[in-house]
Amino acid sequence: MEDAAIINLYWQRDEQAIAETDGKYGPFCHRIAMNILRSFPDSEECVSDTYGRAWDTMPPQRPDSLRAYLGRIVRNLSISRYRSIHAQKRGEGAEVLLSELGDCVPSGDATARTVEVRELGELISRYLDGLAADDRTLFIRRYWNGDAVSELAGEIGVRPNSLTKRLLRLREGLRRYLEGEGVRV
Amino acid sequence: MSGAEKLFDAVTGIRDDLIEEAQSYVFPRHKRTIPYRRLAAMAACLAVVLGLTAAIRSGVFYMGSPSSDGVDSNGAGWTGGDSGSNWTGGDNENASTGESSPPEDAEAITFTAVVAEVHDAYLVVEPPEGEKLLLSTADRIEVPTGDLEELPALQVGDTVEITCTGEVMETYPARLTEVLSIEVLEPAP
Repeated sequence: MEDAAIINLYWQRDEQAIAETDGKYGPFCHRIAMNILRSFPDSEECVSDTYGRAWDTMPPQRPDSLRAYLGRIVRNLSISRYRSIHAQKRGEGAEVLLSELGDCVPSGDATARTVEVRELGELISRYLDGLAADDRTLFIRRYWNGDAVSELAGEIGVRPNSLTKRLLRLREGLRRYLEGEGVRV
Repeated sequence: MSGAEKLFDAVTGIRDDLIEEAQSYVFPRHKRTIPYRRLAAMAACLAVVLGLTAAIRSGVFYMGSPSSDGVDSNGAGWTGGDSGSNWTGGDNENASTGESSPPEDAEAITFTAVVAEVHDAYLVVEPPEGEKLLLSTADRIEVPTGDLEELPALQVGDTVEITCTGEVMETYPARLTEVLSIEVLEPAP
């Protein structure tokens, strides 16, 4: 079923919308949640909550990309869940991603301005606009989807070590870009 | 909230069109360059293995290459040249032209067979009913008798026990190199 038709089901308050969403984007949402939480029960719960959040927000929302919309919800929920359990259970997924993204934190000087998360997201989007499609996709698949380096390397056909270096260059590029924008995180 | 965590949250806000593009993007597959050195090493190993296998099958390791005058590099003679026979067995240290001699440390082998043919200087034997000759894959073996000091009277159908050095020439029929003794176990019915 097309995304527009699924969104119409939400607007018509037809519960078939949930089934259609699960059928089309269930594995996608599960994957993002698992990449962050590395726990099946926690991921299941986040995905379930995602459907609930989608039901609550459509209407009035009518997203252009249902996939990105759902992915964003499940990602936020997974990150929140990760933070709430972080003290007890050290998950591998989000920790590794956080550790890598630490490379992107600009060394802001006194003149740098502090930005909020929303503006930071827009700056990251602008940085990605300037990259080649390969690099842009790599960055998003690694840090938005949370896909493993080994998996991405297999998809591209390169060694994981080689891809790790490439991702490091992308992160350093983001850091330089943010520093160039005069941003402090 | 640390800088990394803030960035992690901010990544969530990447534009929809970029997210959508990334989900359906197909990476052009990089052709991995073949490590030619490794390939060459593997080819060399394969060549060595194949060469060794061929050498073992042709019996090179047992006797070496026969020379044109019928004497091999170890001084041992061999018969059955027209049939392209090959030795099987160990090296002959005490060989002289036209004759073979068993290695000093060759073990004697005893086997049972049934006499199929009786000739002046040799017998032809076959495995007993329902059995195979343990000595050779051949179904018939020539047993030279000319050098035996004691040879019992033999007839076709006798079951005999033959003691030999175990070396078998891969002719057809196969031929024993040296027979040490022949004993009748059961006369022909």
